[in-house]
Amino acid sequence: MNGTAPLTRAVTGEVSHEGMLLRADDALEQLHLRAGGELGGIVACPALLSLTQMVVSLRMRLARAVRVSDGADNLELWVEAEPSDNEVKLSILSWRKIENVAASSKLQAVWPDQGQEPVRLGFDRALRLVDARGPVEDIVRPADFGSSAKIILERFFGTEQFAQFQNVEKFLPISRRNVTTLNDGNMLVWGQAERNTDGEVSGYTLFFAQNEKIVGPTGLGGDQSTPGALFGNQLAPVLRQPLNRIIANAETIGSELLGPIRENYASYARDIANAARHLTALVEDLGDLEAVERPGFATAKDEIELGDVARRAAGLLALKAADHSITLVVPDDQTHVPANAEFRRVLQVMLNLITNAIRYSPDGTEIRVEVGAGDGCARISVADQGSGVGMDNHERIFAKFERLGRTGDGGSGLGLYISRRLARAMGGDLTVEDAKGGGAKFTLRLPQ
Amino acid sequence: MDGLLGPQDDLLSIASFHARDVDALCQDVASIIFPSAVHTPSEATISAVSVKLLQIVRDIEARLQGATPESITGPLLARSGFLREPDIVDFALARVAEDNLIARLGGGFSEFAVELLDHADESVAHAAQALLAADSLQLRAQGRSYLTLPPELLYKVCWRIVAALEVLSGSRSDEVINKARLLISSYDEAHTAPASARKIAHFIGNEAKVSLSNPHYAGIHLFVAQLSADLNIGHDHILRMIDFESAFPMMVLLAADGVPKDEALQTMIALRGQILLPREAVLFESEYVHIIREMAREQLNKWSAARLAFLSFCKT
Repeated sequence: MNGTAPLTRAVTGEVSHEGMLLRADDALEQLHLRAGGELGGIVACPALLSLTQMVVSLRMRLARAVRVSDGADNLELWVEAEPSDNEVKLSILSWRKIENVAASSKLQAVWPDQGQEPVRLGFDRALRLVDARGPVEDIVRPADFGSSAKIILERFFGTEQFAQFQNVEKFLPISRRNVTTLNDGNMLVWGQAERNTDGEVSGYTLFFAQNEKIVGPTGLGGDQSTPGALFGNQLAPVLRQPLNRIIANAETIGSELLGPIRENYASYARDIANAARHLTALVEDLGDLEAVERPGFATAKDEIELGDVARRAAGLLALKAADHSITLVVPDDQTHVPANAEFRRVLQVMLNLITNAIRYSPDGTEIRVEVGAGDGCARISVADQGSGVGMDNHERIFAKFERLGRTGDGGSGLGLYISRRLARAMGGDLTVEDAKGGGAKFTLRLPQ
Repeated sequence: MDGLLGPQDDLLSIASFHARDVDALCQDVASIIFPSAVHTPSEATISAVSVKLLQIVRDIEARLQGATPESITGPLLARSGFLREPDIVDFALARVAEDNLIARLGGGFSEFAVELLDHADESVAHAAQALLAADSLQLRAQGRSYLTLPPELLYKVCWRIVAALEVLSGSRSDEVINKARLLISSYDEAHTAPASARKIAHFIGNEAKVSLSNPHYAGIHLFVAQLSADLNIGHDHILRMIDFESAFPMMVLLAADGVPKDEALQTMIALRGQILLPREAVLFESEYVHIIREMAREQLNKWSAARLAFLSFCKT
């Protein structure tokens, strides 16, 4: 029973009136065993057991399409069952694989060109969030349950786009449409009112699916490498593990810990380790990219202190800077600039900015990390003494996969793109300008 | 019903609203009052249900103790409320729907079933033969209407008639009991129209989808069986949705099966041409292509689950 062809002869079996499988052809016996049954035990496939019980109680010949699961497959069997004094004779005349109509994942196929399940938010009659399904991580928080649809939608899309959702309040359907999110993403949105068995409106269901076909305003680099929806959660960990082993083994060889090898072989091993590190960084970036481009991606609002973030980030990269004799100048302990943003995301942005500064600065130079406040926002900047970013490239540098023509330096072209998306998701922005005395100065602005 | 379309006219929502009657109508028929139905069955439908059930009772009585001009147990069973039990009324409503649909298709036999008599697969050929026989002998000819009952209902009705005969005669008759046993043991579900059509759909559904999807060519049994196989929904439920007063449940049914708009329109006209309202036609024209297949399937599953729950526990 492992194909889709019709049976050349009937598969038969005999079941006792108590439901025990007394005898079965091999195919039926295997199906029974795979379903968790035992030889001589109760028929393991519920639908077959139910059929035999009905034959026993009615003492009639029945002929039905019976649906059973066989591992990952759903099968439809054509079964004819006949009662006798002590048993029920089963004849399976045919079987075929079927599409699982009742699967809960059926909405995955709503958008055939999309490889992910849509987010599905259920609201009650008072339009409070009561149900969230699909890839809602990073989108829905525990505190959202019970919150009004208006608050949640404004957080995703901003007040300007809220007009697109007027039908929700009127319990009218929303036909599928593209809506721009606050973090410059594009989502396909649709929805409908829910009704109870009396036909009365009982709530509203909204669906969100990432619209990969539309390039957002910041998507200057195109969308050719959009990651799969489950990349960060499932694929990235799978990739990281072998990559880490490659790095560890290559470094062991390259450092000649297990004995001397030819110089060029040691060089090759270091190249392998570096390439694997690059791939690891790319995996991390793609995971982040997936997260920031997820519909409705939102960040937490922590009360943080930017001087502290600057010192931590610089501390993490001090050794790397020292390798290039680069001096990291950070705010002193007395500097306190509060901001309202997610700590780990701000740290992520800072690590990216300082890493870039180290990468593109000449050895022996200085990188200054400064914090400040003004115009209602907090600022943290990273200024280097490298070659700088030309005026023409001040926007282009934030595009996805934009490398400004550079290759072979370990960058993926995603770091600044992700950092700006993160900054905007936190209600701030990330910009670049020329630093005094040359070099580039990146400034992250955040709400206070 | 007729009027301009408004923003509230979402086909799926309207269909949901109407389809609740397909779930609950048998209860309303049972109460004969219809307090909660959106659509109340017409007098003609109620009368047809009654005629169907009494015919079945009379045919079973004839098998048990010989033919009589009038049903013996029918009035007693009706008074006791047995003939208004939801599963029985639901069955009768499905048969009335079946009659209506067969009439709208011209009343002929299934041309496709005739063609399948020569099918290379013996199982298919036998099923086609059984289908043609059931269509003629059980549905159109007199005397075997009880064979249209599903096995559970035949068992239930048959023994209830035996009990009613005992009550009316005041004594137990072994002869009647033995004949009842014989009637039940001679029943073969494979020889009923829904089962034989479903068997054909199971065996050749994928290769003959075009033929099965054409109700004029396939006939109502095969057309419904193909939908039943595709959507995993009961034969009688589909019959009732197609013949329902509102066209919207049928639109959702076709959308769930992925039927293209042009083909769906032809099917609607074939099966509901005489009763299709202008408003339904307009809404079909504007909304059908926007129904998302998987959402329609989900909606159907909800209706199906509600119906099964109702028929199992006699409540909505």
